[in-house]
Amino acid sequence: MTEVVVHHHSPSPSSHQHHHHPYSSSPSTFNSPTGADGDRDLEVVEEGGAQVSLLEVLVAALRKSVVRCSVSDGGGQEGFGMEIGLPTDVRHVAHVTFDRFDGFLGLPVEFEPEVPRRAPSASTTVFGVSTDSMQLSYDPRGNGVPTILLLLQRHLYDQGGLQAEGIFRITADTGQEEHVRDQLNRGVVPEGVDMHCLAGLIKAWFRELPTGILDSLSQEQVMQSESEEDCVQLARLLPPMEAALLDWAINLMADVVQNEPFNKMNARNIAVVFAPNMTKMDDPLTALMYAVQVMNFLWTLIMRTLRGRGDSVNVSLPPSSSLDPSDDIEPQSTSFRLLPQEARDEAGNEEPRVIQKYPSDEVSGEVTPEAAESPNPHIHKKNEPSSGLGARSCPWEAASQVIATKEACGRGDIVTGRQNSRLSRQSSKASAKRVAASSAEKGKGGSTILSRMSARAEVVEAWR
Amino acid sequence: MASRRRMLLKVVILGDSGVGKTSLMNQYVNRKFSNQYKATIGADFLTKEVQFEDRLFTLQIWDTAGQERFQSLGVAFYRGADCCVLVYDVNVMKSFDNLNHWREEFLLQASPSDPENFPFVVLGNKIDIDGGNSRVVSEKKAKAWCASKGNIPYFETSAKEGFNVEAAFQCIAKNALKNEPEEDIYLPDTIDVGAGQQQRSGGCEC
Repeated sequence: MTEVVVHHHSPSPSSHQHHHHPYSSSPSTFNSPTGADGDRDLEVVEEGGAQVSLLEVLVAALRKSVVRCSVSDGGGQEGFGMEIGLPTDVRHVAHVTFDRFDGFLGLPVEFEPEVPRRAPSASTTVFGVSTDSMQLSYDPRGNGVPTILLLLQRHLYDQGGLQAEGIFRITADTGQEEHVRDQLNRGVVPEGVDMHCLAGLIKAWFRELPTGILDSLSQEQVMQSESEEDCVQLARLLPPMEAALLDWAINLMADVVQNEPFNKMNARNIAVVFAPNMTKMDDPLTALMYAVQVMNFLWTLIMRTLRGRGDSVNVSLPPSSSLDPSDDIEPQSTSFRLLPQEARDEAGNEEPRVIQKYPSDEVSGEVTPEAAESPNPHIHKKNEPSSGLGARSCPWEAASQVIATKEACGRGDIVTGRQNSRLSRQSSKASAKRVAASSAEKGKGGSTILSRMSARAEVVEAWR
Repeated sequence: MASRRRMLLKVVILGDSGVGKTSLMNQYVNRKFSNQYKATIGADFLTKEVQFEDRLFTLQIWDTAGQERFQSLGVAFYRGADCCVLVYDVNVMKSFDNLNHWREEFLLQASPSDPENFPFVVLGNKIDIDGGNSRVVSEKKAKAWCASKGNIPYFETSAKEGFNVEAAFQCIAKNALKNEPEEDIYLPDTIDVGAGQQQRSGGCEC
């Protein structure tokens, strides 16, 4: 067991008396008032028995507080260990646990001034550490998520962040962010923080986790989840903590989308800015490609959540202020599973204005002018019956083309001569155009498959 | 035939989220502006043919996402750039303050052979908003910064109105061209081995 022991330099019997309430209750230690003291030296002693890792972390946290006390007492002297005399009058004061929902339990009152100022986490920081060590709270939906996220969310909402244009998209002032992080690590959300900074920190929290919340899902699984049911099934495969975080995040994004008339963030936009933060990848090219898949996945779940809230799908339609008639091309019937390719055909518009209906539907908007000028073959083919098998096989061929393009890029990296790299730039450009063109020709296939490929083509476009 | 030969100039557009990078590119390439608010994922790029002193060039414009996560992808995005366009919103001070960060990030990641003289162009966008009443970065301040960084050309633009966009990109193209080593011009365009291999490895045309 781990015990916390108070050791006095000059013990006197009278000084013990006020310590004899070791099991003081400490509800919501996080919000306790802060206070300063520094009259005592603390020492943490471990006595045999099995160690729970959580408690080890606690011990580490308390040790840090020893350092702080010591530093403040010692007038800046180094080697605080030297200041502590031999233990005398050792006694068991309290058994302290760290509960993920209640924080530190059994903490003697006199410790509270130190501990509550620390992160709502058993670690010294609330960023970049495993959720296992984070203090949790329940959100209104019953998800147990790290307290820090709920705090950030509450402050964001209280400040009217949901109505701020480009919330979660706009870059925050990086100067302020460091200060806010520092405060958050002490368990405080400072007042007067720019709401874009709060939103940016929520994204950063996800981005800096040791493992992304969707990392337990394979890329293939995410890529193959085309229908809403697929995505829901996939989300169920997540471990409990990640599932709770995803559900919380999806509902946060749905909150943002419901304020779209103010913040201009539709489901696609919010999915775009969140997607890259949900997975952790070393290879930038893979990360970029995967981000598109994750964006589709998030988008599907956001739309489902919005429908579940009793809003019609047109919550994601552009604000009425949008004067561009092509923004309203979406048929009013609009089951949101509407085939995106057909939707664009009906629009007769090279701009992917139906993006808000299907996020990956971007290929023609992003292709080079030459490619965009070529006739859209699927305009005439969209009603042709598709061969299920043929359609099925297409994504893989598209994938192989993507890989081929990737290899071409790789070749471009290897050759050192400037002329050579120019050559390969052109060649990969040509091949990417081909991918885009061939995926366009596949318009007769299943819509979801096509849109997946569109997503791929979009990525390839970016990497020619 | 030398005058018909096409050269590829790679231009990278950088700047904070929402300053109008995509809109500037679309205004220049397609002469279109969309009121639709649309975040960019990863990077898009468009190409445009430009003629300059009897020669045809393909301007390849990379529009990058302002999202934090993608900033780490810089190497892949920036490599081989011939000109870097830094965009800020004249109505948002921090987007101007961040220009320094973007410039340094680019030089770090792209590591051009001559960083001192690498061509940048700065665009102060959205000057149309509120008739200019909501702008917080003065032209003077922006020009002072540009001057301090080696006389970077500066343009005030409105992607929405199409104001100054063409002029800015002409300057961008000219500067990108200056960055090109002479010998590239004599590259025979018939030798395109890479493309041939690419076609073969691309699989069937289904």
